[in-house]
Amino acid sequence: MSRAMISAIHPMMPEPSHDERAAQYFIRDFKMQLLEIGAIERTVAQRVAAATGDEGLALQDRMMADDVYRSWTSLRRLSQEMLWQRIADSVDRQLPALTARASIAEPKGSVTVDPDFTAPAYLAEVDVHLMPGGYVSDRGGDDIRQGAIMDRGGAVYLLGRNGGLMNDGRGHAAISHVFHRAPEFAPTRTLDMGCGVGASTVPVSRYFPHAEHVGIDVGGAILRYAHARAEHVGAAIHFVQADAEATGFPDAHFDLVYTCAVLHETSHEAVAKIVAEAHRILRPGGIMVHLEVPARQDDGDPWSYLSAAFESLYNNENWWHGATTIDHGALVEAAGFRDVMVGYQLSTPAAQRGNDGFSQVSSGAFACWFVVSGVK
Amino acid sequence: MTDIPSTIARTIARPRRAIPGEDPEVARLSAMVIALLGEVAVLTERLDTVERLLDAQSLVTRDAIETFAPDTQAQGERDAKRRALVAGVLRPLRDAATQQAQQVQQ
Repeated sequence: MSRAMISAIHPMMPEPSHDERAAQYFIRDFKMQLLEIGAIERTVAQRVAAATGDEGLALQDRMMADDVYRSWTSLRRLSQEMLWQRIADSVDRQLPALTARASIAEPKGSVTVDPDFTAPAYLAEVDVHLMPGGYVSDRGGDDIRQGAIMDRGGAVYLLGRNGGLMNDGRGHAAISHVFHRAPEFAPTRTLDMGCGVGASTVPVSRYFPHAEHVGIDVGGAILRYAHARAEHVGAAIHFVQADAEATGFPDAHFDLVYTCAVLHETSHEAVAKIVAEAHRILRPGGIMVHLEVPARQDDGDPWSYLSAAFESLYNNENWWHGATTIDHGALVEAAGFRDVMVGYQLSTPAAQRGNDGFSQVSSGAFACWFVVSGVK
Repeated sequence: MTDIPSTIARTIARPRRAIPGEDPEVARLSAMVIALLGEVAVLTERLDTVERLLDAQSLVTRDAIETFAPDTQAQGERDAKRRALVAGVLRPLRDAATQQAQQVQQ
C-alpha cells in the first residue's frame, strides 16, 4: 500500500491523523510479519502431517498443543482485534464531520432502512472478522459509524490487495466474469447481495451507467454510509436493508444478481435459500454470479484445514469449513440454473468485454477469485 | 436494528473463543507488549517527521508535522524502518518457528 492508497480518496473515507496513519501502517506491517511467520508454520504443519499421518482436526489438535503455533494463533487474532480498535478510535474522533458529509442534498440514489428488519442469526450473533458490532450494529437516525469502520478497516485488513482504499477489485472481477460469459451483456437492473459499503456495487455500476443498481445488506449504519460514499463518488445506487434469503423484490426483476465474498459468511441452509432467491428475482436469461475466496480444503494441502480452523474459530468466519468444501456447481444446478460455470476469474482493474481470464486453475488469493455462475 | 446502547460501542468482537492451552496472563502480556510496539512505531514515525522537517527548514510547527507528507523515497525508508522494528520484536516467534521447521525436517 503506497501512501497515496492510504490517503483519503473520497470524502466519506475516514482520514487518519499523522499518528493514526502511522498506527495503521504498524498494524499492516504487524499482520504482514505474522503472514510471513505463517509461511514457516505452514512448512512445519506439512512436515508434521507427513511424519504423523495426521490431517484435519487431528492435525489441528496436534499443532495447537504446540506453544509456538499457539503463540502465532494468539498474536494473529490480536492483530485483527487491534486493527478494529485502532480504526474505531480514528473513526470516533471524526464521526461528527463524517456524519455531516453523509447528508446528501440532491441524491441520485437512495437508502432505505427498515426499522422492523431482523437480520439472520448468522450475522446478528457473530461479529464477522472480529469487527465489534458486526454488520448489524446501528445506532439509528443518521448513524454511519459501522460503515466508516468497515470501509477503512476493510482496506487495511486486506493489506490493500483488493484495489487499495476503494476495495473495488471484486466488482471488476465479477463483471470480468459476466463479460466472459456474455460479451454483449447490457442489464436494465442489477442487484448486489451483501453489498456492505458498496465497494463492489460502485465499480459494477460504472460498467452499466444506464442501468438501475441496487445493493442490499443487513445493517442500517453500513447502508447509510454506503449510500453517502456512492453519492460522493458519483454513483447512483439504491441501497436497501434486506435479507438475501428473502429480498422482497418482485419475480424476474433483475438481469444480474451477484455476491462478492458473501456466501462464506452465511450457512449451509442459507446459501441454498440465497441461490433460490436469486433464481426467483432474475428474469429468464438473467445471470447470477457469486465470487468467493479462492480457498478449497480439497486442495491436498494439510495447511488448508488449519487455515479454515483459524478463520472459523478465531476470525469469526462462521461457515468457512462449509464454504470451502461445498459443491457450488451442484448447488446452483439444483436451484434450476443452466450453463453453470465453476472456476477462477483473474483479478483486473478494468473488465474487458469478451475477456478470457476464466480458468479451472487458481492463481492464488487476490490474483484471482473463485467464481460460480449460471443463467436462469 | 440496534444491538448496542446508543453511546457505548462494544470494543471486543463476539463470540471470543478460547484458544486451547493459551495462558490468559501471557496473552494479556503479549497484547500489552504489542500495543507498546505500536506506540513505539508511532513515536518513531513522528520523530522521523520532525527530523526531516528540521532538516528541510529551520522552523517547525505542529501543523507542519501534522500535515507532513513524505515523498516516495522517504516513505520507503520509513516502511523499511518500521518493518525492521516489527521483525525485531517478533523475532523470538519467528526463530522458534524456524527452529521447529528445521527440527521437523531432520
